[in-house]
Amino acid sequence: MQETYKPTSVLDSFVTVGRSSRRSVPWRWRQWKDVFADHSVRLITTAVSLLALVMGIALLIRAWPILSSRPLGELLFSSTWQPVKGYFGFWPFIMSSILVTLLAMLLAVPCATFSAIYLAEYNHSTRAFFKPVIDMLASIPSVVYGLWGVLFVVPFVRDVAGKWIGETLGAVLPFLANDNPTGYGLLAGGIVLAIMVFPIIVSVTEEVLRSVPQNMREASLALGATHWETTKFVVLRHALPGVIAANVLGFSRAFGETLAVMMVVGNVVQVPHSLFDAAYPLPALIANNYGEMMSIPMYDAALMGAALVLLAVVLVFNVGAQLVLSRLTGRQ
Amino acid sequence: MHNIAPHLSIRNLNVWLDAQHVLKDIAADIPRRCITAIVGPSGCGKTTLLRSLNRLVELGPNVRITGKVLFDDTDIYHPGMDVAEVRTRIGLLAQKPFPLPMSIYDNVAYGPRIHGTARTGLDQTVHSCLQAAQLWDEVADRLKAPATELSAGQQQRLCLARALAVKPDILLCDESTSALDPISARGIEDLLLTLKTDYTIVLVTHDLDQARRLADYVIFLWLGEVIEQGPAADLFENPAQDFTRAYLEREIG
Repeated sequence: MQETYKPTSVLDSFVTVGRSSRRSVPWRWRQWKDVFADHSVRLITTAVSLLALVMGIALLIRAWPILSSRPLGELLFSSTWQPVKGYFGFWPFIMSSILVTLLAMLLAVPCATFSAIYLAEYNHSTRAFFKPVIDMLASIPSVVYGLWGVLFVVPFVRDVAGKWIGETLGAVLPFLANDNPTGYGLLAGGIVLAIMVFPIIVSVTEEVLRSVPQNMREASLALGATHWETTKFVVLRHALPGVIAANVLGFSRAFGETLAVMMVVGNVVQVPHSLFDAAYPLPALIANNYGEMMSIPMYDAALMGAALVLLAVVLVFNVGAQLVLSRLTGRQ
Repeated sequence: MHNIAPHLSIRNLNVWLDAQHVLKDIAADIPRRCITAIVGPSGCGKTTLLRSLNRLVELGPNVRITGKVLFDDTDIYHPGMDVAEVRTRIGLLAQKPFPLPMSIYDNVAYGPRIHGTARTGLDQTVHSCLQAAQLWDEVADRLKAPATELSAGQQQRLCLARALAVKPDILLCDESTSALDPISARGIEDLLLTLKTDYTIVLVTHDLDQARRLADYVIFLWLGEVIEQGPAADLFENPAQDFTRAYLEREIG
């Protein structure tokens, strides 16, 4: 029975001896610390995650008076917003939010993707300059973007883009017609928002592209593919889930952005029908009105309902993106 | 056998990676339709030499290259040379298999597609290349499955099929069996032996036994310099340099 265990190598016997001797030693302080760390990180993460739930429930409770007194369909899809008379239709705000965000993404996504490709795939020497600049852009306070929008984007839309497009294409295409002489509107909001989310999307996309193994690129190049073919068919394809995640992040950021948009978008309660019409996104509605006119019945509940809608849209969009992502990663 | 014109002639090739002089005045000939093994200890520049034969080496940062690599009397480093064309004619089988992020079929079809081969011939090309890589029987019923589902050995054969699909003249193999289990490795070796009737194969290996099994011609590299080169039988049985003999008998390296 003495021959039951034969170490096959020096290393093997060392490992076994190490294990068995360790088992017999009583628990020490560092093991307690290990258990403590284990539980505390779990506790903190759980607590922070619960916060999302708590926020949702709190909004729901405060919005309940209006949710229970009016049909949901009317709240969401009615265009009549006359708080004094008791009409609360969120439709103009929902449409404004969606349109201004879509416009911003339409402008930002192509630019951001190509910039990220340039930084990650094409130029390694200027990256040391461009990357910090873009990261800095991402951290500029939104009020600065808003001010810049008022000073430059709004006049540009009013005097150049609006005039020119409104007079030429606007005569033919109704969504380009310009009967808003101020410059404050959907286009100005979209441009400011695009500029705001651009650095976020670039930054994340670039990191994602850089994480693609170099060997993957070489495999493609070694087959005689050009640099661009390799980027398009191999790098982007491999990084697609991450690129989508970067854009979802940009979308969520854009959809919830308040201050900068509020400063340039016009804030007129209407469903915008043209690129130059003024709009009134959900976050602007809440920020502009909360704390004022609170004596109007149901007004507080209506604003809470607007916040709930905002939360729900971002949540639905994120869940949807997660589903797409899991299908994509499952396929690869 | 080696008196005919070489397929690749390396002339005064110098490569610096950062400030390090990795390849020093390399002069060597790669004979046509043979397996040429580049042997030498780790860090002697074997892989750099191989990667400079289809200009993959220049992808790294701070690389400087001087000298010539003549491919059928054309310098692949000539400024007017189309790099993609060079890499199409001189393929590479990497150390580890890296399937492209697409299906098995699309991996093999990737090369022909970017080079504009007609859609009608594609199925036939994929079939024959997978067959040549002896993978067809294992994947015939799941060509649309992601290539990452294959085992490492199958992936390496897929990479071989993928390389063959662009119809290269020369195949470079960078320790292409070292990441595989012995059975898969032997499978790749057997494949290379059958392929040498149609392709010129250059093989980097640190495994002298593998070089003995496969090579017709051997280049022995030491600290970035060619110490000795010649037909495998001569070099292994009767090395001209004492240094080579010492390495072969594992006294150095």
